[in-house]
Amino acid sequence: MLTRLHSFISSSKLAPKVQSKTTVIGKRVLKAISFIVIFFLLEAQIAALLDPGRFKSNFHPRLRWEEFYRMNKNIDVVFLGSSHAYRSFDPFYFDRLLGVNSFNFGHSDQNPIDSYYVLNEVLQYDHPKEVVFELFFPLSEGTVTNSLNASYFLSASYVFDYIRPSWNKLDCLINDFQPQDYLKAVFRTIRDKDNYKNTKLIKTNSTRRWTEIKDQLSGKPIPFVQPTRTSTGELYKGKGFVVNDGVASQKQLTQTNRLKVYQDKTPDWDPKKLAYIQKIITLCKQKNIPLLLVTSPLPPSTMKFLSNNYQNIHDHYQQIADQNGVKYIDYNLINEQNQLFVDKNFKDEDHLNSAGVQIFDQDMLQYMKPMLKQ
Amino acid sequence: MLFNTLPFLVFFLVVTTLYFLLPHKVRWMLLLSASCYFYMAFVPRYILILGAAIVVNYVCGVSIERLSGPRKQAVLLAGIAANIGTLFIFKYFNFFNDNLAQLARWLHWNYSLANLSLILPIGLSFHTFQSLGYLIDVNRGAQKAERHFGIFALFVMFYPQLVAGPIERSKNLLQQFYTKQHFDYDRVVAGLKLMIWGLFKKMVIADRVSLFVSEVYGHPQNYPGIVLAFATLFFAIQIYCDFSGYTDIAIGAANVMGFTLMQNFRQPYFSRSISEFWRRWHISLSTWFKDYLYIPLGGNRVVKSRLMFNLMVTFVVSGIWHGANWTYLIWGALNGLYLILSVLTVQIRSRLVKLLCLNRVPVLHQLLQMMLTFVFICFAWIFFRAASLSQALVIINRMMQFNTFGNLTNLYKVAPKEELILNFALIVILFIFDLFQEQKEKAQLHIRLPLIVRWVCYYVVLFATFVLGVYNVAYKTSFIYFQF
Repeated sequence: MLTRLHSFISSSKLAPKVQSKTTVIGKRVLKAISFIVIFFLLEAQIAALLDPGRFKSNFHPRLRWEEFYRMNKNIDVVFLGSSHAYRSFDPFYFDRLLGVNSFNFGHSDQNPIDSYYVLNEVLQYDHPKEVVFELFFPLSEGTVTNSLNASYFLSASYVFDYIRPSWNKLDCLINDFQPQDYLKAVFRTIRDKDNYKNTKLIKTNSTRRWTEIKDQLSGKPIPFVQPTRTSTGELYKGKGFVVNDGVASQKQLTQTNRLKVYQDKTPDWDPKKLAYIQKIITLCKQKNIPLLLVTSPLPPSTMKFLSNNYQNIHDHYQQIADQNGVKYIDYNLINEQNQLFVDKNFKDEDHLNSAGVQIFDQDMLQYMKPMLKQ
Repeated sequence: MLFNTLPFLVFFLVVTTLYFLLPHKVRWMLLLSASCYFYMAFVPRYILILGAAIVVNYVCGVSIERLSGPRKQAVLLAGIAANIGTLFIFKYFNFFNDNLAQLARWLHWNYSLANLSLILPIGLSFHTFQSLGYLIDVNRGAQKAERHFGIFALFVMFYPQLVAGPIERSKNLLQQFYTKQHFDYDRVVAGLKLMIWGLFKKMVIADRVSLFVSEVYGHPQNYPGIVLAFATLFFAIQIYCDFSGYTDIAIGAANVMGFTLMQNFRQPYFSRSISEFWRRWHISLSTWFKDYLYIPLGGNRVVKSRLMFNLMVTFVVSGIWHGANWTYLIWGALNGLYLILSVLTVQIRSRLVKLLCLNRVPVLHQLLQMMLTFVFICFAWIFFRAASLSQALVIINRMMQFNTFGNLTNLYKVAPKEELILNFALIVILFIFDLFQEQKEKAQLHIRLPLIVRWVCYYVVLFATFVLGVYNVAYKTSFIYFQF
């Protein structure tokens, strides 16, 4: 009788469901993982709604990395540096004349710390035959910002945001950002949080995101959006190069010249950034890649403001180059002697325009060619 | 290392993981080292003061237990003097010295003792009171003296409650260090939830309203009464969310590791009287004063005049505990006065209730009581927040001038309309949550909402903290109670 009652209870709904310890743990682990996964999915969607414009077709910090990861051919020549790099070295020109596959990895305000992580990322996928590293002195100073108010958070994010998950990415997070910015770096929701007030932006982003999700779900191929020329006549030409046909105005060269701040002062060199120049040199030596340090030219009008301190600035970099047996070419000193560039070769107070790039790249061939043969 | 920063998150994750990985025998060492590291992240050299205080209290505790008679009392007094003396030198010396100098000038005396240039060690008032409570308990025989120096040191400097409480009782916390804690999923989840809610209260509510409060209290002469009244209301919310947010994170962090810290807040703004408010606000401090000052003074089992004296002394001391400034003293005295008045007006109030027939509509009666209590508490907060007594008087004076009181549009001069609407919405959310909590506690309910509802709530709170939280460079304002 008791046995029958027992079997009735155990087979009926009255019996409490006893779960094994392993099942309970398994369920809990699954629950915790699901919570975290949903959290990151939601974070990505909210971040997309608050995105101030990184998705745009002319946002080259993103385009550059997307193009790099799509590239199947080995990259032979790597250009590193700030806007002075991505507006000066035209990879298409060098490819044609040197018979190589080159790529410009420069981005706005890229400092030596950023450059190091960019190079590390490139070396994970390619075996370059030459690295050309452009040095613009304001980007070797300051810890959070420099005298030109360049945001080091933004420049670090141009690397961190787009490189693929790896130890290099983690290392980049730890060393390229200030500790107080780690959260902002990892979570774009926090970074772009203030856009929550911008209903117009959220509306536009939600429409765009919704279309993207629908297309993804329906398996519709996402069309490649050709970069468009901006209102300032600027175009992302591809391979990291940005071309600009503008010519600097007299006002830009004199009155509003941003480099005027260095008229009476020397740069406040940041030891960490200088140490990263050394790290790049060491890395290239370890990988047996010839390295060329270059400073692209500034307009003669801008150089007038720097004439008192420029020799000191040059010597600072020259010393690093000499100590490591690396060639350093400073076009600001070269230009003093042979007047290769005049003010109209520049789009503003410190960047070459398309006409200036032609002169510059042609002259650079004499330095790059022999290094490729090494 | 503030609770609302990434370094703390990393610290907490590392310490908690190691805590569960290590055998029980050595866990105290991990917690003690972690607590030292946590404390040294503020001002490293002050670990020496804390270390000295731990040694003194440890020796005193053991001696009190061993000795008897006048020698026992002498050791107790020496222990109390050492603790209060440290507190006096770091926190009150300059205040007393300045006031003495002012008095001397007034009396034309020659007095010229220089002020000390010392920075107040973080959490000094909290761990000093925790140690004092321990010594008194050992003296009363309510607590055995702790013989294990490491455990005793951990009791004083357990990192979740080291810098701003809750001020733990030795009876509650000490024995927990001996209990082997296992990883309990439900407890860990509950602790984490409490931490997230605490972060939300601190970063989203407290820090948002603080922008308005700082501006108005920084220049009270520029604003009409209505703006000052709203700033005071916002400050009431700010201090509640700031301090209870901190406490939630502290209790949650301890809970994850299996430790139960005492409750410090119980929906204080739902109090229907001042005495009830003090049973719900900063409970660990209020009960400390009740146990170690108010009751030894005679408590409420004395004649009315003595009761009034006891109340006033307790609250004045509580006020001065918060800071060496006349504003805190007045704030404490004002709360004491409220309680005295409530004792004196019991009969009048009960007659008034009957006269207005409020006893027939208990809900309305309770609501009125809550609102009145809140107004009185807010009035006292003016002294707590004001930089000086004269500033507090300026604020009160401007709030009382009804002809220049202004209207709601004056608020938009301080913050945009959308910002103010958001602030009010957040305050409403806070009160709804507190109301839910209040009902749950009253009915002793264990409501478990469906998983999907719970998760939606968690995500909303998390992302609201991400998007609406205040994270600027000036965010080193820390928690209000860290200064005490």
